[in-house]
Amino acid sequence: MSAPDERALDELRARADGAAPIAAQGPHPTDAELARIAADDESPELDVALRHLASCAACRARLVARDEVVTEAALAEPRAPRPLPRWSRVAATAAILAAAAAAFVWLRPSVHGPTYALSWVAVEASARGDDAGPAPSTLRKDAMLRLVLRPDREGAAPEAALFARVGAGWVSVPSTVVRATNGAVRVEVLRAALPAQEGQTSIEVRVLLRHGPLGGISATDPPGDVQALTAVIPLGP
Amino acid sequence: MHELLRVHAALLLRLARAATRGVDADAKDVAQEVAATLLRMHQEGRLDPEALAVPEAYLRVAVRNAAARRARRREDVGREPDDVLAALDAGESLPTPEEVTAEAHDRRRWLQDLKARLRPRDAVAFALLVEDGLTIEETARALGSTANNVHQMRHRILGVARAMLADTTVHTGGPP
Repeated sequence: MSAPDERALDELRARADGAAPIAAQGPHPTDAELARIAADDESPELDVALRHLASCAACRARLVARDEVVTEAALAEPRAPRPLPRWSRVAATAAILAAAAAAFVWLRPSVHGPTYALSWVAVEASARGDDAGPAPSTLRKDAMLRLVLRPDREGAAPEAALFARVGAGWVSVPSTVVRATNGAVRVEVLRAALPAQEGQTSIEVRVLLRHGPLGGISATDPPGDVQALTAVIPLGP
Repeated sequence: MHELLRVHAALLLRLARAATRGVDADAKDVAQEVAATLLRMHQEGRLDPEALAVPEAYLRVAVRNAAARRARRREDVGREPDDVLAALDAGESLPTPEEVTAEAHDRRRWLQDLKARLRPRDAVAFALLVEDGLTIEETARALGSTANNVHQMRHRILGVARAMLADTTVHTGGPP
């Protein structure tokens, strides 16, 4: 509101404060008429009620209180839930996380699920002409491999068998578990002597996993219930 | 009397709120005390119908007196019970009508002229804004209108008021 308007309104208020009270003109409007006025009904038939309102402080108070009553009724209606206290929010969040974790544990894939990983850790010194190699001319690379396994619901890790590619086929390679840690997943570090040929720059290894015996299974074409993991280990100079 | 109280209940509460500085519990007590006193006086035939010719003025004084009695009652803690009762009896008399000056009558007449020149709905907006001291938003809520509409109403009201004031100044040399 502009300053002149504000001043003019204040002057009118001061004039009204000192004005003598008067009796209201005409009959008091009914509640229904007040409701129509409060609903911005501009019918000419309400003019008498409006003229009365302009002169009757009691009916104006009814009009304003009507709005107040409506407001109180609105407040009494069901409201949006109030925000929970902080501790309740923390507790609710913890409960949701616990439920999600329980569902995750219960629904996690079995050992047959694709939830494994194979990576190489280190390749150590080689030895020429080892008898353990598939051919007299092969080298043997002592490799360390990391195998990540997700246990099944009973906590059992699957059987694992290590193979190394030689030419177009795969040969089984004995391995020993040098370290294993159990947690949400089981991590095994395997040591194996991988066959390699002179001038070979990498060794491809494959681990077959199955919750059951693995004897006699071909690494080239494993059955459907066997999970195969493959990793390529670079051979440095 | 019951009808009068029904129509004036909202005004009674509004006056009581003003007299008790907005403390809702006190305002309701004061309003109930005034209503009960009026009913008792009416039943006992002690109420002068002339006193209620302008109920708003009567109630305004009655509420002011009741609020003052209530404030005194709080100060009565520790006083002798007989003194407190005597003070209460003394307070429960008809409000003394306020003296209305000629100037007050002139002001009222001027305001009535102004309202007569306004559209009916603008006249109500004027009474709510100027006589009842409501804000633009409160007035809009009471009339089921928007604040913008009430701004326009106020603009028309001030236009008519300025024209009347200018007219009064020209003819009488100053506003009443």
